[in-house]
Amino acid sequence: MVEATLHTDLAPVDLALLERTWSPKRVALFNALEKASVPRQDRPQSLHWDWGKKVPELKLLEARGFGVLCEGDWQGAMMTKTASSVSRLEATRRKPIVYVDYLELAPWNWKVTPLKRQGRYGGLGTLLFLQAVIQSFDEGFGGRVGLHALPQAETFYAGLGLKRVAHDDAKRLPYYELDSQAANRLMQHDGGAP
Amino acid sequence: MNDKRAMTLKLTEQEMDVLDELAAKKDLSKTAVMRQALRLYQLVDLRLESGEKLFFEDESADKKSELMVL
Amino acid sequence: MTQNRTFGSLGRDWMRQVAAAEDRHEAVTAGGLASDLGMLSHEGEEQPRVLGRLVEWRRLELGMTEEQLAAAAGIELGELRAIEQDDTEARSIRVIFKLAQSLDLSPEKLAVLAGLAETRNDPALSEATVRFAAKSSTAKLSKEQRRVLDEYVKVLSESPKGP
Repeated sequence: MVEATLHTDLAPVDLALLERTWSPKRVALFNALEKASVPRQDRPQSLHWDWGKKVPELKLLEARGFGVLCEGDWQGAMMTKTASSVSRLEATRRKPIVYVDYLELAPWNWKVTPLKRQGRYGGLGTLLFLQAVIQSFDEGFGGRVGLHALPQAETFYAGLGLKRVAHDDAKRLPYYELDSQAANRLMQHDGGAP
Repeated sequence: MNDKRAMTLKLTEQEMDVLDELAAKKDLSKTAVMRQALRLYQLVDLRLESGEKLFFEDESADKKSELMVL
Repeated sequence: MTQNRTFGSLGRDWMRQVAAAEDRHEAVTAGGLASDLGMLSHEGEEQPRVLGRLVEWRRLELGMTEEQLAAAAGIELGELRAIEQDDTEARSIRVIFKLAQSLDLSPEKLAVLAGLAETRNDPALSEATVRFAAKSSTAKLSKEQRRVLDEYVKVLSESPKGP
């Protein structure tokens, strides 16, 4: 195990630096997948993402960036928003939620089954997602968190207790939401958060 | 960025009623409601500034009407 | 002010359990914003590799040799051949636009076929592309192939409506 630092208020420069480090690693991974003739549908679905495009969003009051820094590199990052999405669950319809706009790990932390690769550091997705839950409690939203999961990540979020609400045709992704009860259960198992 | 400053806000009776109603409806403190309102206002303002428009859409009636926010 | 929280000796066992649990899943990525920014690639919606065939057919339709088209578009002959054989993933937007102009096709739609742009709601293009892919093959054009090409080119030539 190694020590890592969780940053809960990323600045635009952090995201820009993060993208500079991650981008060549994504390209290298893409080349490795091409070389191994891995079919497109079996490749990581965030291979072409560009965090640089998200930088302008950070100036919004509702937006907040989180990141995990370890050994001088950003290992995972997340952006949440608090005003532009509301709960889609029947019991809490239109009540405010923390929406996870974007959660991704550094390419070297991806599990890439077709290449038999495991990520270098584990647990980052859970760590970051828990920050969204903590933020939701801090905001007075009762722990409610919503997000659009990539299909490859659906089992991960279902395992954390999020409910699959519906497939969102506009985003072309399934929408998941964590209700207050599930949020409380999740926080009970957490070993480090206050 | 997270250091907070205090502010006194004077609201009319009607505005206070609306604030109370929203706080109850959304299960939020009045401060949290004001904070959400500010975030939303900024978000809408920035997007309008960039040339986008804000609409309400009624899918069942196949109606779309523009909301002007100054 | 950034709040920094260090995970060191606190919650080690928990972190180990969490890491092991996460390893069982393929990914942890959430990406509504990626969708908004047009960064999603869609499983099962991959555009068939028709760019090369279309370029070749249209060139033949217009009675151009490879050399003539390459010269008209201002690109290397080798590059044109690579495009016609769908040999290359990386095509620049400049080359695609020049080809589109030389072949009198919609540059925007050709860019979509080249994988350089995404189109959200163009079912007509997607449908036409699938039909074209099913019926096309490299060769001199038969009457039927000419008809198929003409239909497809018509879809590509239609300007997008709206602002």
